[in-house]
Amino acid sequence: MTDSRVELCDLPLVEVASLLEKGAVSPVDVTESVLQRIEALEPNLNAFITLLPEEARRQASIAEREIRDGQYRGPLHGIPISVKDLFSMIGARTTAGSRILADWIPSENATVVDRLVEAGAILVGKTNMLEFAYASVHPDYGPALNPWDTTRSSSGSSSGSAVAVAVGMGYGSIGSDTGGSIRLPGAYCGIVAMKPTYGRVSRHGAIPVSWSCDHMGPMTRTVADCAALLGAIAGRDQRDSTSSHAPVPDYLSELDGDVSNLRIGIADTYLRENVDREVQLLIDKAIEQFTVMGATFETVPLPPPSEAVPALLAIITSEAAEYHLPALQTRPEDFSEPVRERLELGVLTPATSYIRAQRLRRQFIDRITAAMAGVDLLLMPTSPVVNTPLEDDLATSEEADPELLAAMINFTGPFDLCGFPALTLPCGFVEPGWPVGLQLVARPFEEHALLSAAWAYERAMDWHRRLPKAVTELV
Amino acid sequence: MARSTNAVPANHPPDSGISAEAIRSIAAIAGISLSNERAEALRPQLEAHVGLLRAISALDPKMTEPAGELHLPWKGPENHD
Repeated sequence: MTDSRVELCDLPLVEVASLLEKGAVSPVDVTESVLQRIEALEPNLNAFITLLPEEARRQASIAEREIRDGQYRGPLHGIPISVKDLFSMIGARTTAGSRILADWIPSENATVVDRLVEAGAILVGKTNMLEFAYASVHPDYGPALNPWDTTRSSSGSSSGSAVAVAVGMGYGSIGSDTGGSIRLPGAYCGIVAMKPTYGRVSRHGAIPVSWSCDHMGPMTRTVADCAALLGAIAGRDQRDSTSSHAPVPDYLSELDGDVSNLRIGIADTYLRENVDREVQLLIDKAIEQFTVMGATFETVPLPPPSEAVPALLAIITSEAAEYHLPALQTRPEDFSEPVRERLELGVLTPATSYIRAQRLRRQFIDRITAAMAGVDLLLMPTSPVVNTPLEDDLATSEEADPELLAAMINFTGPFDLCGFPALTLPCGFVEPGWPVGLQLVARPFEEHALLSAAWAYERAMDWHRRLPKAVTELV
Repeated sequence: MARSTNAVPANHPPDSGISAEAIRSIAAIAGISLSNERAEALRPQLEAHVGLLRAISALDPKMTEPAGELHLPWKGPENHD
Protein backbone atom coordinates (compact mmCIF):
# COMPACT_ATOMS: atom_id res chain seq x y z
CA MET A 1 0.00 0.00 0.00
CA THR A 2 1.02 3.63 -0.38
CA ASP A 3 2.18 5.11 2.89
CA SER A 4 2.49 8.71 3.97
CA ARG A 5 5.28 7.84 6.40
CA VAL A 6 7.86 7.68 3.64
CA GLU A 7 11.41 8.15 4.88
CA LEU A 8 14.47 9.40 3.05
CA CYS A 9 15.50 5.84 2.19
CA ASP A 10 12.10 5.23 0.53
CA LEU A 11 12.41 8.08 -1.98
CA PRO A 12 13.42 7.34 -5.57
CA LEU A 13 17.13 7.51 -6.37
CA VAL A 14 16.76 10.43 -8.78
CA GLU A 15 14.80 12.49 -6.24
CA VAL A 16 17.47 11.99 -3.62
CA ALA A 17 20.14 12.76 -6.23
CA SER A 18 18.45 16.09 -6.91
CA LEU A 19 18.37 16.87 -3.19
CA LEU A 20 22.04 15.94 -2.87
CA GLU A 21 23.05 18.10 -5.83
CA LYS A 22 21.25 21.10 -4.33
CA GLY A 23 22.76 20.44 -0.92
CA ALA A 24 19.31 19.96 0.61
CA VAL A 25 20.47 16.69 2.16
CA SER A 26 23.94 15.27 2.66
CA PRO A 27 25.29 11.84 1.68
CA VAL A 28 25.83 11.20 5.37
CA ASP A 29 22.10 11.71 6.12
CA VAL A 30 21.11 9.56 3.17
CA THR A 31 23.50 6.77 4.12
CA GLU A 32 22.39 6.82 7.75
CA SER A 33 18.75 6.53 6.64
CA VAL A 34 19.61 3.44 4.59
CA LEU A 35 21.74 1.92 7.36
CA GLN A 36 18.90 2.42 9.85
CA ARG A 37 16.51 0.67 7.49
CA ILE A 38 19.01 -2.18 7.16
CA GLU A 39 19.32 -2.41 10.93
CA ALA A 40 15.54 -2.55 11.24
CA LEU A 41 14.74 -5.08 8.52
CA GLU A 42 17.80 -7.15 7.70
CA PRO A 43 17.35 -9.53 10.67
CA ASN A 44 13.93 -10.48 9.23
CA LEU A 45 14.71 -10.48 5.52
CA ASN A 46 18.27 -11.84 5.14
CA ALA A 47 18.98 -9.71 2.06
CA PHE A 48 22.73 -9.35 2.63
CA ILE A 49 25.66 -11.69 2.97
CA THR A 50 28.12 -8.94 3.90
CA LEU A 51 27.33 -5.47 5.20
CA LEU A 52 29.84 -2.63 4.92
CA PRO A 53 28.48 0.07 7.27
CA GLU A 54 31.79 1.60 8.32
CA GLU A 55 33.13 1.76 4.78
CA ALA A 56 29.78 3.24 3.67
CA ARG A 57 30.02 5.95 6.33
CA ARG A 58 33.59 6.72 5.26
CA GLN A 59 32.56 7.01 1.60
CA ALA A 60 29.57 9.15 2.59
CA SER A 61 31.84 11.62 4.41
CA ILE A 62 34.08 11.87 1.35
CA ALA A 63 31.06 12.39 -0.93
CA GLU A 64 29.69 15.05 1.40
CA ARG A 65 32.96 16.96 1.23
CA GLU A 66 33.22 16.63 -2.56
CA ILE A 67 29.67 17.86 -3.18
CA ARG A 68 30.12 20.73 -0.75
CA ASP A 69 33.30 21.67 -2.63
CA GLY A 70 31.47 21.76 -5.95
CA GLN A 71 32.79 18.44 -7.25
CA TYR A 72 29.39 16.85 -7.92
CA ARG A 73 29.91 13.80 -10.15
CA GLY A 74 26.36 12.99 -11.24
CA PRO A 75 23.19 11.19 -10.17
CA LEU A 76 24.91 8.38 -8.25
CA HIS A 77 27.15 10.67 -6.19
CA GLY A 78 26.42 10.03 -2.53
CA ILE A 79 23.78 7.36 -3.28
CA PRO A 80 23.85 4.09 -1.27
CA ILE A 81 23.89 1.07 -3.58
CA SER A 82 24.46 -2.66 -3.09
CA VAL A 83 25.88 -5.33 -5.39
CA LYS A 84 25.10 -9.02 -5.64
CA ASP A 85 27.70 -11.08 -3.83
CA LEU A 86 29.21 -12.43 -7.04
CA PHE A 87 30.87 -9.13 -7.93
CA SER A 88 34.50 -8.97 -6.82
CA MET A 89 35.26 -6.11 -4.48
CA ILE A 90 38.69 -5.33 -3.10
CA GLY A 91 38.86 -6.17 0.59
CA ALA A 92 35.28 -7.46 0.84
CA ARG A 93 34.60 -11.18 0.88
CA THR A 94 32.83 -12.38 -2.23
CA THR A 95 31.07 -15.68 -1.63
CA ALA A 96 28.71 -16.01 -4.60
CA GLY A 97 26.36 -17.53 -2.02
CA SER A 98 28.59 -20.58 -1.73
CA ARG A 99 30.63 -22.46 0.84
CA ILE A 100 33.33 -22.94 -1.81
CA LEU A 101 34.12 -19.18 -1.78
CA ALA A 102 33.04 -18.48 1.80
CA ASP A 103 36.36 -16.87 2.73
CA TRP A 104 37.48 -15.42 -0.61
CA ILE A 105 38.55 -11.79 -0.50
CA PRO A 106 39.33 -10.47 -3.99
CA SER A 107 42.29 -8.24 -4.75
CA GLU A 108 40.55 -6.64 -7.72
CA ASN A 109 37.21 -4.93 -8.30
CA ALA A 110 34.67 -6.09 -10.84
CA THR A 111 34.26 -3.47 -13.55
CA VAL A 112 30.75 -2.58 -12.37
CA VAL A 113 32.12 -1.96 -8.88
CA ASP A 114 34.85 0.29 -10.29
CA ARG A 115 32.23 2.22 -12.25
CA LEU A 116 29.96 2.65 -9.25
CA VAL A 117 32.91 3.95 -7.23
CA GLU A 118 33.89 6.33 -10.05
CA ALA A 119 30.31 7.61 -10.12
CA GLY A 120 30.53 8.36 -6.39
CA ALA A 121 28.08 5.68 -5.21
CA ILE A 122 28.22 4.50 -1.59
CA LEU A 123 28.55 0.71 -1.46
CA VAL A 124 26.59 -0.52 1.55
CA GLY A 125 26.94 -4.26 1.13
CA LYS A 126 27.00 -7.49 -0.86
CA THR A 127 23.58 -9.04 -1.30
CA ASN A 128 22.35 -12.57 -0.69
CA MET A 129 21.90 -14.77 -3.73
CA LEU A 130 21.32 -18.32 -4.86
CA GLU A 131 24.48 -20.41 -4.78
CA PHE A 132 26.69 -19.44 -7.72
CA ALA A 133 23.53 -17.89 -9.23
CA TYR A 134 22.48 -21.41 -10.10
CA ALA A 135 18.87 -21.75 -8.95
CA SER A 136 19.27 -23.02 -5.36
CA VAL A 137 19.88 -21.52 -1.93
CA HIS A 138 22.96 -22.80 -0.10
CA PRO A 139 21.92 -23.76 3.44
CA ASP A 140 24.85 -21.80 4.91
CA TYR A 141 23.09 -18.55 3.88
CA GLY A 142 19.38 -19.34 3.65
CA PRO A 143 16.88 -17.53 1.42
CA ALA A 144 16.29 -13.77 1.20
CA LEU A 145 12.65 -13.36 2.21
CA ASN A 146 10.00 -11.66 0.12
CA PRO A 147 9.14 -8.35 1.84
CA TRP A 148 5.53 -8.41 0.56
CA ASP A 149 4.92 -11.77 2.23
CA THR A 150 7.72 -13.67 3.91
CA THR A 151 5.96 -16.99 3.34
CA ARG A 152 6.38 -16.54 -0.43
CA SER A 153 9.53 -16.92 -2.50
CA SER A 154 11.59 -13.92 -3.58
CA SER A 155 12.76 -16.06 -6.55
CA GLY A 156 16.38 -15.72 -7.63
CA SER A 157 19.16 -15.67 -8.13
CA SER A 158 19.53 -11.92 -7.42
CA SER A 159 17.01 -12.31 -4.59
CA GLY A 160 18.89 -10.32 -1.94
CA SER A 161 19.30 -7.40 -4.36
CA ALA A 162 15.57 -7.35 -5.14
CA VAL A 163 14.59 -7.57 -1.47
CA ALA A 164 17.06 -4.86 -0.43
CA VAL A 165 15.88 -2.44 -3.12
CA ALA A 166 12.19 -3.09 -2.45
CA VAL A 167 12.46 -2.07 1.21
CA GLY A 168 14.83 0.89 0.98
CA MET A 169 18.00 -0.90 2.03
CA GLY A 170 19.74 1.05 -0.75
CA TYR A 171 18.43 2.95 -3.79
CA GLY A 172 19.53 0.33 -6.26
CA SER A 173 21.50 -2.84 -6.67
CA ILE A 174 23.41 -4.60 -9.42
CA GLY A 175 22.33 -8.14 -10.20
CA SER A 176 23.11 -10.76 -12.80
CA ASP A 177 20.76 -12.61 -15.13
CA THR A 178 21.46 -15.87 -16.99
CA GLY A 179 17.95 -17.32 -17.24
CA GLY A 180 15.92 -14.62 -15.45
CA SER A 181 17.89 -13.93 -12.28
CA ILE A 182 17.43 -10.15 -12.38
CA ARG A 183 13.87 -10.06 -13.73
CA LEU A 184 12.21 -12.87 -11.76
CA PRO A 185 13.18 -11.61 -8.28
CA GLY A 186 12.43 -8.12 -9.57
CA ALA A 187 8.90 -9.20 -10.46
CA TYR A 188 8.33 -11.18 -7.26
CA CYS A 189 9.52 -8.23 -5.16
CA GLY A 190 7.68 -5.49 -7.10
CA ILE A 191 10.63 -3.47 -8.43
CA VAL A 192 12.07 -2.36 -11.77
CA ALA A 193 14.87 -4.64 -12.95
CA MET A 194 16.68 -4.72 -16.28
CA LYS A 195 18.73 -7.29 -18.12
CA PRO A 196 20.58 -5.13 -20.66
CA THR A 197 21.77 -6.29 -24.07
CA TYR A 198 24.55 -8.89 -23.93
CA GLY A 199 27.73 -6.83 -24.13
CA ARG A 200 26.15 -3.61 -22.81
CA VAL A 201 27.54 -4.06 -19.26
CA SER A 202 30.91 -5.65 -18.55
CA ARG A 203 30.97 -9.09 -16.97
CA HIS A 204 34.56 -8.71 -15.83
CA GLY A 205 35.02 -9.62 -12.18
CA ALA A 206 31.66 -11.32 -11.77
CA ILE A 207 31.71 -15.03 -10.90
CA PRO A 208 30.19 -16.64 -14.00
CA VAL A 209 27.40 -19.14 -14.37
CA SER A 210 27.69 -19.20 -18.13
CA TRP A 211 30.04 -16.84 -19.94
CA SER A 212 27.93 -16.66 -23.07
CA CYS A 213 24.60 -16.14 -21.28
CA ASP A 214 25.45 -13.98 -18.22
CA HIS A 215 24.17 -10.40 -18.18
CA MET A 216 24.76 -7.77 -15.48
CA GLY A 217 22.12 -5.13 -14.84
CA PRO A 218 20.42 -2.58 -12.59
CA MET A 219 17.64 -3.19 -10.06
CA THR A 220 15.79 -0.16 -8.69
CA ARG A 221 12.39 1.05 -7.47
CA THR A 222 11.61 3.30 -10.44
CA VAL A 223 12.33 3.40 -14.16
CA ALA A 224 14.23 6.70 -13.97
CA ASP A 225 16.41 5.22 -11.23
CA CYS A 226 17.07 2.26 -13.51
CA ALA A 227 18.13 4.65 -16.30
CA ALA A 228 20.52 6.47 -13.97
CA LEU A 229 22.10 3.26 -12.69
CA LEU A 230 22.42 1.71 -16.15
CA GLY A 231 24.14 4.86 -17.42
CA ALA A 232 26.79 4.51 -14.73
CA ILE A 233 27.71 0.88 -15.39
CA ALA A 234 27.24 0.50 -19.16
CA GLY A 235 29.92 0.75 -21.81
CA ARG A 236 32.97 -0.84 -23.36
CA ASP A 237 35.44 -2.57 -21.06
CA GLN A 238 38.63 -3.92 -22.51
CA ARG A 239 38.74 -6.53 -19.73
CA ASP A 240 35.60 -8.16 -21.16
CA SER A 241 36.14 -9.10 -24.79
CA THR A 242 32.39 -9.45 -25.36
CA SER A 243 31.59 -5.94 -24.18
CA SER A 244 30.38 -3.65 -26.92
CA HIS A 245 31.84 -0.48 -28.41
CA ALA A 246 28.31 0.85 -28.93
CA PRO A 247 28.08 4.38 -27.48
CA VAL A 248 26.22 4.76 -24.19
CA PRO A 249 23.31 7.24 -24.42
CA ASP A 250 22.30 9.46 -21.52
CA TYR A 251 19.45 7.14 -20.62
CA LEU A 252 18.05 9.43 -17.95
CA SER A 253 17.76 12.56 -20.09
CA GLU A 254 16.40 10.55 -23.03
CA LEU A 255 13.29 9.44 -21.13
CA ASP A 256 10.47 11.12 -23.03
CA GLY A 257 7.34 9.24 -21.99
CA ASP A 258 5.79 9.45 -25.45
CA VAL A 259 4.41 6.12 -26.57
CA SER A 260 1.96 7.51 -29.10
CA ASN A 261 3.77 5.96 -32.05
CA LEU A 262 5.00 2.88 -30.26
CA ARG A 263 4.35 -0.46 -31.94
CA ILE A 264 4.30 -3.38 -29.53
CA GLY A 265 4.43 -7.04 -30.51
CA ILE A 266 2.62 -9.79 -28.63
CA ALA A 267 2.40 -13.55 -29.13
CA ASP A 268 0.00 -16.06 -27.58
CA THR A 269 2.83 -18.40 -26.62
CA TYR A 270 4.16 -15.62 -24.38
CA LEU A 271 0.78 -14.41 -23.09
CA ARG A 272 -1.74 -17.19 -22.70
CA GLU A 273 -0.09 -20.60 -22.55
CA ASN A 274 0.33 -21.92 -19.01
CA VAL A 275 -0.06 -18.44 -17.52
CA ASP A 276 -1.91 -17.93 -14.23
CA ARG A 277 -5.31 -16.31 -14.77
CA GLU A 278 -4.50 -13.50 -12.32
CA VAL A 279 -1.30 -12.72 -14.22
CA GLN A 280 -3.17 -12.72 -17.55
CA LEU A 281 -5.75 -10.26 -16.25
CA LEU A 282 -3.11 -7.77 -15.13
CA ILE A 283 -1.17 -8.10 -18.38
CA ASP A 284 -4.40 -7.49 -20.32
CA LYS A 285 -4.95 -4.33 -18.28
CA ALA A 286 -1.41 -3.18 -19.06
CA ILE A 287 -2.10 -3.71 -22.77
CA GLU A 288 -5.26 -1.60 -22.40
CA GLN A 289 -3.27 1.13 -20.66
CA PHE A 290 -0.61 1.24 -23.37
CA THR A 291 -3.41 1.39 -25.93
CA VAL A 292 -5.02 4.33 -24.11
CA MET A 293 -1.64 6.07 -24.23
CA GLY A 294 -1.51 5.65 -28.00
CA ALA A 295 0.55 2.51 -28.54
CA THR A 296 -0.57 -0.07 -31.07
CA PHE A 297 -0.35 -3.83 -30.72
CA GLU A 298 0.14 -6.52 -33.28
CA THR A 299 0.64 -10.25 -33.11
CA VAL A 300 4.13 -11.30 -34.16
CA PRO A 301 5.48 -14.77 -35.00
CA LEU A 302 7.85 -15.21 -32.08
CA PRO A 303 9.54 -18.58 -31.84
CA PRO A 304 8.06 -20.20 -28.71
CA PRO A 305 9.89 -20.57 -25.38
CA SER A 306 9.92 -24.35 -25.89
CA GLU A 307 12.41 -23.81 -28.72
CA ALA A 308 14.66 -21.53 -26.70
CA VAL A 309 14.71 -22.67 -23.08
CA PRO A 310 16.08 -26.20 -23.67
CA ALA A 311 18.89 -24.73 -25.79
CA LEU A 312 19.65 -22.16 -23.11
CA LEU A 313 19.82 -24.86 -20.44
CA ALA A 314 22.11 -27.03 -22.56
CA ILE A 315 24.51 -24.08 -22.84
CA ILE A 316 24.27 -23.06 -19.18
CA THR A 317 24.71 -26.57 -17.78
CA SER A 318 27.75 -27.18 -19.99
CA GLU A 319 29.49 -23.87 -19.29
CA ALA A 320 28.72 -23.98 -15.55
CA ALA A 321 30.06 -27.51 -15.24
CA GLU A 322 33.30 -26.54 -16.98
CA TYR A 323 33.81 -23.49 -14.75
CA HIS A 324 33.16 -25.42 -11.53
CA LEU A 325 34.92 -28.64 -12.57
CA PRO A 326 37.95 -28.22 -10.25
CA ALA A 327 35.73 -27.80 -7.17
CA LEU A 328 33.41 -30.56 -8.35
CA GLN A 329 36.42 -32.88 -8.57
CA THR A 330 37.90 -32.00 -5.19
CA ARG A 331 35.17 -30.83 -2.81
CA PRO A 332 31.76 -31.76 -4.26
CA GLU A 333 30.18 -32.03 -0.80
CA ASP A 334 30.63 -28.28 -0.32
CA PHE A 335 28.03 -27.51 -3.01
CA SER A 336 24.38 -27.65 -2.04
CA GLU A 337 22.85 -30.90 -3.25
CA PRO A 338 20.79 -29.46 -6.14
CA VAL A 339 23.64 -27.30 -7.45
CA ARG A 340 25.97 -30.29 -7.28
CA GLU A 341 23.39 -32.31 -9.24
CA ARG A 342 23.09 -29.59 -11.90
CA LEU A 343 26.85 -29.47 -12.28
CA GLU A 344 27.00 -33.25 -12.60
CA LEU A 345 24.29 -33.09 -15.27
CA GLY A 346 26.47 -30.58 -17.08
CA VAL A 347 29.39 -32.98 -16.98
CA LEU A 348 27.12 -35.62 -18.54
CA THR A 349 25.90 -33.29 -21.33
CA PRO A 350 27.39 -34.28 -24.70
CA ALA A 351 29.48 -31.68 -26.53
CA THR A 352 27.24 -32.28 -29.53
CA SER A 353 24.24 -31.01 -27.51
CA TYR A 354 26.16 -27.88 -26.56
CA ILE A 355 27.10 -27.17 -30.18
CA ARG A 356 23.56 -27.90 -31.36
CA ALA A 357 22.26 -25.46 -28.77
CA GLN A 358 24.66 -22.76 -30.01
CA ARG A 359 23.48 -23.32 -33.58
CA LEU A 360 19.85 -23.08 -32.47
CA ARG A 361 20.76 -19.93 -30.59
CA ARG A 362 21.94 -18.28 -33.79
CA GLN A 363 18.75 -19.38 -35.52
CA PHE A 364 16.63 -18.08 -32.62
CA ILE A 365 18.34 -14.67 -32.86
CA ASP A 366 17.61 -14.54 -36.59
CA ARG A 367 13.97 -15.51 -36.09
CA ILE A 368 13.29 -13.09 -33.26
CA THR A 369 15.02 -10.31 -35.19
CA ALA A 370 12.71 -10.98 -38.13
CA ALA A 371 9.66 -11.16 -35.86
CA MET A 372 10.50 -7.75 -34.38
CA ALA A 373 11.10 -6.07 -37.73
CA GLY A 374 7.78 -4.26 -37.62
CA VAL A 375 7.56 -3.50 -33.91
CA ASP A 376 9.57 -1.51 -31.38
CA LEU A 377 9.04 -3.70 -28.32
CA LEU A 378 7.57 -6.96 -27.12
CA LEU A 379 5.25 -7.22 -24.11
CA MET A 380 4.57 -10.27 -21.93
CA PRO A 381 4.49 -11.40 -18.30
CA THR A 382 7.84 -11.70 -16.55
CA SER A 383 6.74 -14.93 -14.88
CA PRO A 384 3.85 -17.24 -15.74
CA VAL A 385 2.90 -17.35 -12.04
CA VAL A 386 2.46 -14.61 -9.43
CA ASN A 387 4.93 -16.25 -7.05
CA THR A 388 5.27 -19.51 -5.15
CA PRO A 389 5.22 -20.65 -1.55
CA LEU A 390 8.72 -20.51 -0.15
CA GLU A 391 8.73 -24.16 0.87
CA ASP A 392 7.59 -25.31 -2.58
CA ASP A 393 10.04 -23.21 -4.58
CA LEU A 394 12.85 -24.49 -6.78
CA ALA A 395 15.32 -22.35 -4.82
CA THR A 396 14.66 -24.32 -1.65
CA SER A 397 14.14 -27.72 -3.27
CA GLU A 398 16.53 -30.56 -2.52
CA GLU A 399 16.64 -31.63 -6.18
CA ALA A 400 18.03 -30.17 -9.41
CA ASP A 401 14.65 -30.62 -11.14
CA PRO A 402 15.54 -29.60 -14.73
CA GLU A 403 11.91 -29.47 -15.86
CA LEU A 404 10.90 -27.12 -13.06
CA LEU A 405 13.90 -24.91 -13.82
CA ALA A 406 12.85 -24.79 -17.48
CA ALA A 407 9.29 -23.84 -16.49
CA MET A 408 10.49 -21.12 -14.13
CA ILE A 409 12.47 -19.31 -16.85
CA ASN A 410 9.91 -19.83 -19.61
CA PHE A 411 9.41 -16.11 -20.40
CA THR A 412 12.81 -14.78 -19.30
CA GLY A 413 15.23 -17.41 -20.59
CA PRO A 414 14.58 -16.83 -24.31
CA PHE A 415 16.02 -13.31 -23.99
CA ASP A 416 19.15 -14.56 -22.26
CA LEU A 417 19.56 -16.92 -25.18
CA CYS A 418 19.26 -14.16 -27.78
CA GLY A 419 20.85 -11.42 -25.65
CA PHE A 420 18.11 -8.84 -26.31
CA PRO A 421 17.46 -6.29 -23.53
CA ALA A 422 14.46 -6.89 -21.27
CA LEU A 423 12.97 -5.14 -18.28
CA THR A 424 10.39 -5.99 -15.63
CA LEU A 425 8.26 -3.45 -13.81
CA PRO A 426 5.20 -3.84 -11.58
CA CYS A 427 1.84 -3.96 -13.38
CA GLY A 428 -0.42 -4.50 -10.39
CA PHE A 429 -1.06 -6.60 -7.33
CA VAL A 430 -3.14 -9.64 -6.56
CA GLU A 431 -4.68 -10.47 -3.21
CA PRO A 432 -3.33 -10.52 -0.56
CA GLY A 433 -0.93 -7.87 -1.87
CA TRP A 434 1.56 -9.71 -4.09
CA PRO A 435 3.14 -7.77 -6.97
CA VAL A 436 3.05 -8.98 -10.58
CA GLY A 437 5.71 -8.11 -13.15
CA LEU A 438 5.25 -6.93 -16.72
CA GLN A 439 8.15 -7.67 -19.09
CA LEU A 440 9.15 -5.47 -22.03
CA VAL A 441 11.76 -6.55 -24.56
CA ALA A 442 13.61 -4.37 -27.11
CA ARG A 443 16.02 -4.87 -29.98
CA PRO A 444 19.75 -5.00 -29.16
CA PHE A 445 21.15 -1.79 -27.67
CA GLU A 446 17.72 -0.14 -27.61
CA GLU A 447 17.54 0.07 -23.82
CA HIS A 448 16.46 3.71 -24.20
CA ALA A 449 13.27 2.58 -25.97
CA LEU A 450 12.62 0.05 -23.24
CA LEU A 451 13.10 2.64 -20.51
CA SER A 452 10.98 5.29 -22.21
CA ALA A 453 8.01 2.95 -22.66
CA ALA A 454 8.34 1.65 -19.10
CA TRP A 455 8.59 5.21 -17.78
CA ALA A 456 5.41 6.26 -19.59
CA TYR A 457 3.53 3.28 -18.15
CA GLU A 458 4.92 3.79 -14.65
CA ARG A 459 3.87 7.45 -14.61
CA ALA A 460 0.35 6.48 -15.63
CA MET A 461 0.02 4.02 -12.75
CA ASP A 462 0.96 4.16 -9.09
CA TRP A 463 2.33 0.68 -8.50
CA HIS A 464 5.86 1.88 -7.79
CA ARG A 465 4.64 4.08 -4.93
CA ARG A 466 3.42 1.14 -2.88
CA LEU A 467 5.58 -0.01 -0.02
CA PRO A 468 6.04 -3.66 0.92
CA LYS A 469 4.38 -5.01 4.01
CA ALA A 470 7.77 -5.34 5.70
CA VAL A 471 8.11 -1.52 5.47
CA THR A 472 4.56 -0.50 6.31
CA GLU A 473 4.68 -2.65 9.43
CA LEU A 474 7.61 -0.58 10.70
CA VAL A 475 6.36 2.05 13.10
CA MET B 1 7.73 -21.33 -9.45
CA ALA B 2 5.61 -24.03 -7.94
CA ARG B 3 6.30 -27.66 -8.55
CA SER B 4 2.93 -28.04 -10.26
CA THR B 5 3.76 -25.50 -13.00
CA ASN B 6 5.22 -26.81 -16.19
CA ALA B 7 5.11 -24.08 -18.78
CA VAL B 8 7.62 -25.63 -21.15
CA PRO B 9 6.01 -28.66 -22.73
CA ALA B 10 8.02 -31.49 -21.25
CA ASN B 11 9.49 -33.77 -23.83
CA HIS B 12 9.13 -36.78 -21.59
CA PRO B 13 11.24 -39.50 -23.07
CA PRO B 14 10.87 -43.11 -22.27
CA ASP B 15 13.59 -44.28 -19.93
CA SER B 16 16.76 -43.42 -21.81
CA GLY B 17 18.32 -46.64 -20.63
CA ILE B 18 21.39 -44.89 -19.29
CA SER B 19 22.64 -47.09 -16.49
CA ALA B 20 24.29 -45.98 -13.28
CA GLU B 21 27.47 -47.62 -14.53
CA ALA B 22 27.34 -45.58 -17.74
CA ILE B 23 26.83 -42.41 -15.71
CA ARG B 24 29.87 -43.24 -13.60
CA SER B 25 31.97 -43.94 -16.68
CA ILE B 26 31.06 -40.69 -18.45
CA ALA B 27 31.64 -38.68 -15.27
CA ALA B 28 35.01 -40.34 -14.81
CA ILE B 29 36.13 -38.98 -18.19
CA ALA B 30 35.75 -35.50 -16.67
CA GLY B 31 37.57 -36.55 -13.52
CA ILE B 32 34.43 -36.88 -11.42
CA SER B 33 34.23 -39.91 -9.20
CA LEU B 34 30.64 -40.95 -8.48
CA SER B 35 29.63 -43.77 -6.18
CA ASN B 36 27.18 -46.28 -7.56
CA GLU B 37 24.57 -44.98 -5.12
CA ARG B 38 25.08 -41.40 -6.26
CA ALA B 39 24.93 -42.36 -9.94
CA GLU B 40 21.71 -44.26 -9.28
CA ALA B 41 20.24 -41.28 -7.42
CA LEU B 42 21.19 -38.99 -10.31
CA ARG B 43 19.34 -41.08 -12.91
CA PRO B 44 15.87 -39.47 -12.52
CA GLN B 45 17.40 -35.99 -12.88
CA LEU B 46 19.37 -37.15 -15.88
CA GLU B 47 16.23 -38.55 -17.49
CA ALA B 48 14.59 -35.11 -17.22
CA HIS B 49 17.75 -33.42 -18.50
CA VAL B 50 17.95 -35.81 -21.45
CA GLY B 51 14.34 -34.87 -22.22
CA LEU B 52 15.42 -31.26 -22.66
CA LEU B 53 18.41 -32.27 -24.77
CA ARG B 54 16.13 -34.35 -26.99
CA ALA B 55 13.95 -31.29 -27.47
CA ILE B 56 16.87 -29.48 -29.06
CA SER B 57 17.89 -32.52 -31.06
CA ALA B 58 14.42 -32.49 -32.60
CA LEU B 59 14.86 -28.93 -33.91
CA ASP B 60 16.53 -28.34 -37.23
CA PRO B 61 19.23 -25.65 -37.07
CA LYS B 62 19.32 -25.62 -40.89
CA MET B 63 22.52 -24.01 -42.14
CA THR B 64 23.28 -21.91 -39.08
CA GLU B 65 26.70 -22.01 -37.47
CA PRO B 66 27.18 -21.93 -33.68
CA ALA B 67 26.62 -18.59 -31.97
CA GLY B 68 29.87 -18.79 -30.01
CA GLU B 69 32.33 -16.33 -31.51
CA LEU B 70 35.97 -15.53 -31.04
CA HIS B 71 36.54 -11.82 -30.61
CA LEU B 72 40.02 -10.58 -31.47
CA PRO B 73 40.97 -6.96 -30.80
CA TRP B 74 41.28 -4.85 -33.90
CA LYS B 75 43.78 -2.03 -33.46
CA GLY B 76 42.39 0.06 -36.25
CA PRO B 77 42.19 3.86 -36.20
CA GLU B 78 38.61 3.89 -34.84
CA ASN B 79 39.01 1.20 -32.25
CA HIS B 80 41.63 1.67 -29.58
CA ASP B 81 41.31 -0.50 -26.52
